[in-house]
Amino acid sequence: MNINIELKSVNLEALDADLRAALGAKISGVSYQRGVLTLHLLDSASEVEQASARAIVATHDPARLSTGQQAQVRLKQSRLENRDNPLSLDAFNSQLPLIRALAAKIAWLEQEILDLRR
Amino acid sequence: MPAIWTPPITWNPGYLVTAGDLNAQLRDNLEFLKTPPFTNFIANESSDYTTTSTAFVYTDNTAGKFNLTIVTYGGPILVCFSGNIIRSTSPQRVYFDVELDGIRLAGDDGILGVGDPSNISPGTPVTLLWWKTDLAAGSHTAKLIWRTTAGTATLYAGAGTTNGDLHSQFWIKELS
Repeated sequence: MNINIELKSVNLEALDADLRAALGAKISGVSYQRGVLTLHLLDSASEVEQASARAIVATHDPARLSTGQQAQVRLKQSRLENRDNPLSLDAFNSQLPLIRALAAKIAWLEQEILDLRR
Repeated sequence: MPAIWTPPITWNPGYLVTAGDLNAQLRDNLEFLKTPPFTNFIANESSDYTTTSTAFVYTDNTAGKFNLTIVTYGGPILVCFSGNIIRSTSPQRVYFDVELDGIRLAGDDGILGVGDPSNISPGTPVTLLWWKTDLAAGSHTAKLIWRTTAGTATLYAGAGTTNGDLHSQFWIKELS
């Protein structure tokens, strides 16, 4: 069953996560288009579960990130920090030749990955 | 006004051909063959389409959008869709199917699927074609349905999105 609710803005992933946490397998997901949110509930969803879904939508804050979105933000920040802090080969000058060669390879890989991400 | 198809007459010697016969058998039937039943939607929406649904759901159940009705004369139809989709997470798979008169054309995982579409606009282009035969004459309604396995799937809809202002299209045509 579909429930349509008018909503000005939505963080679809965060709302989806909240609904799944509350309703489990009784919801297959949500869709959004032209200011209308559609809740895709299973026909077996009870009236209590439907009311619960509506209540979650009513208190939905699009600015609040889901756990997955927070992880993505942290990963992005980490990438930015590492981009400006590349591996320094000088720190390996006193190491054995094999270790220095390994460090050089890692530094090369780091630059290749950064280049791919540009 | 759409052209009308009239089953061809078997002409017999001595039969007096009337203007009505000629208009129906030649003019109207030729016009029909030149312009068979066709219906079309080109997305130019205020926002793109998005879903997190892991079960197939209507892309847009509004009549005249990804929900088209065609009146056929018993010939096969070609159902087509083209658009660009974008993912939000990885791994993420997006599947499409078409529901015709309440029954899915392909079933299972649908007509086509995309594994990890691009997450950079304009995303990944998707084109769907389905040839449907053995269809009785009359009114038929086709609806585009889709699902994702994770995250949010977005279908661009000409909504002004930067680098993604792309107009997806859904159309059905009877072919004789």
